[in-house]
Amino acid sequence: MFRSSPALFNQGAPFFKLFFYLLLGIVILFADFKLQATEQIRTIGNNLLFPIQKVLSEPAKLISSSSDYFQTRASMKMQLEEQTLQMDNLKLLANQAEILESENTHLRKLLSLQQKTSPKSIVAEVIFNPVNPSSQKLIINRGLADGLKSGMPISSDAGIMGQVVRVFENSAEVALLEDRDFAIPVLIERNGLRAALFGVGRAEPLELRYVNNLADLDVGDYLVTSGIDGTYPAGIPVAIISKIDRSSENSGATISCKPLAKLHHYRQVNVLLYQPISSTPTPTESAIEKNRLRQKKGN
Amino acid sequence: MSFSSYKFSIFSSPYFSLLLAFILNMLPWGNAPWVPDFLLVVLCFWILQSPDKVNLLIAFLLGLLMDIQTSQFLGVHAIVYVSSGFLIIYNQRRLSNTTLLGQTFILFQIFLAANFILLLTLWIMGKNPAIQFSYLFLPSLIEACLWPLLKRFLSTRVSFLNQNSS
Repeated sequence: MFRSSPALFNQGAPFFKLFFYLLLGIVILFADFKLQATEQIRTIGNNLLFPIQKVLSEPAKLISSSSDYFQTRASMKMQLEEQTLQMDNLKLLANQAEILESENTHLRKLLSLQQKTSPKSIVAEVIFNPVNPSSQKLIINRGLADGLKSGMPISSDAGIMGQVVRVFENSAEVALLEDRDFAIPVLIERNGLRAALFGVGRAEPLELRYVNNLADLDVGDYLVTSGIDGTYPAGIPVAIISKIDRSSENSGATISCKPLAKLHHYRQVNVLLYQPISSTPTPTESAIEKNRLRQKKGN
Repeated sequence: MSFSSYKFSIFSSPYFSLLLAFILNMLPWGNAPWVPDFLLVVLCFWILQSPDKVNLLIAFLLGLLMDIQTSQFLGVHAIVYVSSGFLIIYNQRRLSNTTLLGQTFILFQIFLAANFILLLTLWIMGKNPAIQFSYLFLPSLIEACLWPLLKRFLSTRVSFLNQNSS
């Protein structure tokens, strides 16, 4: 079985080309990894690929929606009953919450505190999660055009899921809680103890760090966002402590937590359009211009 | 082979099949270890069959596109594709002189090397705590299994000249 291709004879192994391209690859890798200097290339490429990605996500949606359609009557009835029950409970809670909220606003007015407003949110659809052995990311169908910014938190109904890490015109990239080196400031709901929650890697439990070895912690404690760093609004549930290992040979205890939101189950997620209040924004051209106008008006 | 030589002529155009493989890669497979890299297999095929049309530059550019697609650091897949393309060219004589089974076996090793380079690059950049074996063996195995199928579908035009000998 001989190939008649002349290419068999005309060249040896292209060592020079290999080294050239490898070097180029490493340079680009370095430029992206250390200097973040390749966003332009990424944006152009993404604009090229996004329409195709969107079209290709349609069949999957069709499959999931048709499986919903063929649900049996019995399971639907059960679900309905469950939901009515849940709704009754929620109504009860909502009533209480209303009372509490009115009381709260009244008290805040009394204390002349800054009114705490809940952040606006928009629903985004997950287009796909890219194959990536090192991390878990989601691509969602909202971008700069919808007012998304890098750093905005993503949540489901159960709690925080992750954070927007890269924004394009019509899509955005979300890093999930369990991503390696993902950090989120939390506090223990029960006693208000502050700590930081870290992602360890795919399918690994989250890790609670920077807590005292003798701190009052228990399996089953809820962790909520503390709102200290200004990236996340305060008081949103994040995770639950699933295991405390104090007998480890490390200096501190290893505290494993489970995220409350199911990170891989949803097709829709909530983007909280939360603008950090505490951090000082860098003045942009337009902001400076506005300030000037305001001053003129004042004069 | 009993295939008529021009039956699949559009499928056997390198650029069309590369595009098709890229689209296959873009389907929402989810992030599981077994998901094969179709583009890598098709790219290896064309680098072997017509190195004059599909060269390392195309491998590099497709790698960059793949990095954008998988939201990886730019250059990771480029390095992987270029090195596996090089391995194909380096083993060209061996690949051309063996049976399909032998080819598949050599290709399995090349895919193994490619996936290892991918994991190694991520590990060097500190993004991967450990090199997971499921991410090394599963995709390589499935990619190697794709090779004979691909060979049947794509090699009609190329094997036209060799019809009598094969």
